Amino acid sequence: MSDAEDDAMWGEESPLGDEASFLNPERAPQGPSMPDAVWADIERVLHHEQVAREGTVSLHSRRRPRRTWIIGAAAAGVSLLAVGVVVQSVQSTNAPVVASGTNGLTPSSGAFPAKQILASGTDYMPTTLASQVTKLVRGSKGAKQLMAATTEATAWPSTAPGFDMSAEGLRSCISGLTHDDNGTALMVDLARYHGDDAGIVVIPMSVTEPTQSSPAMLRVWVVGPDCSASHTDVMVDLTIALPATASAE
Amino acid sequence: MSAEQSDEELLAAHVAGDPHAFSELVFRHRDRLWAVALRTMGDSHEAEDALQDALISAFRRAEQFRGEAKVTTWLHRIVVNACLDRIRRRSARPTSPLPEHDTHDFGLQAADDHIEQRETQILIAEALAELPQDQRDAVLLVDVEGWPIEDAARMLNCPSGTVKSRCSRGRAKLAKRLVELRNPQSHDPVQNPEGGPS
Repeated sequence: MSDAEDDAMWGEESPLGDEASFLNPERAPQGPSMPDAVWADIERVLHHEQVAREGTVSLHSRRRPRRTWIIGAAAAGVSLLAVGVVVQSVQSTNAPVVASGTNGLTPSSGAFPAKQILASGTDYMPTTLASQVTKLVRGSKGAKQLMAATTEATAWPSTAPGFDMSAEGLRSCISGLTHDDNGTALMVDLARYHGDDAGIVVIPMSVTEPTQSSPAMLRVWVVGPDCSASHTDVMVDLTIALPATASAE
Repeated sequence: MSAEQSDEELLAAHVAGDPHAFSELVFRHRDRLWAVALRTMGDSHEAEDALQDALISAFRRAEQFRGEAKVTTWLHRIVVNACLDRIRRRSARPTSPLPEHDTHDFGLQAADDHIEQRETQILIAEALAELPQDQRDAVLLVDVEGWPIEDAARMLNCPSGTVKSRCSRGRAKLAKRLVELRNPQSHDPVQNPEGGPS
């Protein structure tokens, strides 16, 4: 359509009149303040977006050409070693640092940075992640007992299909997720997510015992094998509420 | 982060990778954005969902902000569009009831006026929601926000004549749809499919 034809259609008044002024940013009337709970949800959503934005870099880095990847792997090995040294010095007054076996999965002694570590072999799916994690927590010791537990797991799963991460790597990852060098997870499942190798890291958001009216709030991260203190490689970050009946099981 | 940073500086910092800039920008204008979402949706749960949709969209599209309008106007428009999209998606479902209001502070007449005003706002939002996106953008800029045609054309990256024709078509549809929405009995249940290019 030509400009002349466009112009010919012009001239009628808007049927909206002043009635649409509530949509005008300059003329809109004052409204109520945003409730704190709404802001908290928005902040969480924006945090997810930020994590996803940073995660895009991670996905790209996984698709680097092989030669670059080898150089990167060597560099990562050096940095992992450096992280290990840092963790060891930080942990020296707390739980002993786990000494890994040749495959990095078999510790000789000590505690891990989680109260329970599993290798369920589950392939967690995006649409069912929350219910799968709920089932996982219910099916093990239960959230209530796990929260009450004062000791960390001392046994590493004999086989960890799919997710290849050393105990030191897991410690570094959890400290990155929790922003705490001594951070401890409620539960970790070395598994898969949507077909990819992944770790499911579950951390309680409150220390109080769940009740009927106040469920246990659990923060769940799905992390990739590159997760470390400096780069958490988060695939999914969500919060789930576990009812007292479920968490007490 | 400096408290003196302008909205434009915060948005630029976000585009440059600052992980906190966008949250600070939204926090600064949260009440205003919440108010427009609440007014447009008429329900706090729907308003929250629409606002989250909008802010995710703004977060991802920040580099498209070209500085022709204020950042607050840009954000406001994204929120309005997210609300209208959500209204369009729910249009197949039965109309949700108006939210309950605490009428203690209203006289009966004032309460009636308030409800009538809300009904009008909901009708307008529903009618706008049904417009094709390009017509809706033109109508929002020209008829709602009051931008001159030339400025709207620059923002929409199209000739002035195109903005005029989109407005004209949008207005015609709005006028017809508003009559139908205000008088449901007059509405022919067998609708003709949308015809013609926008």
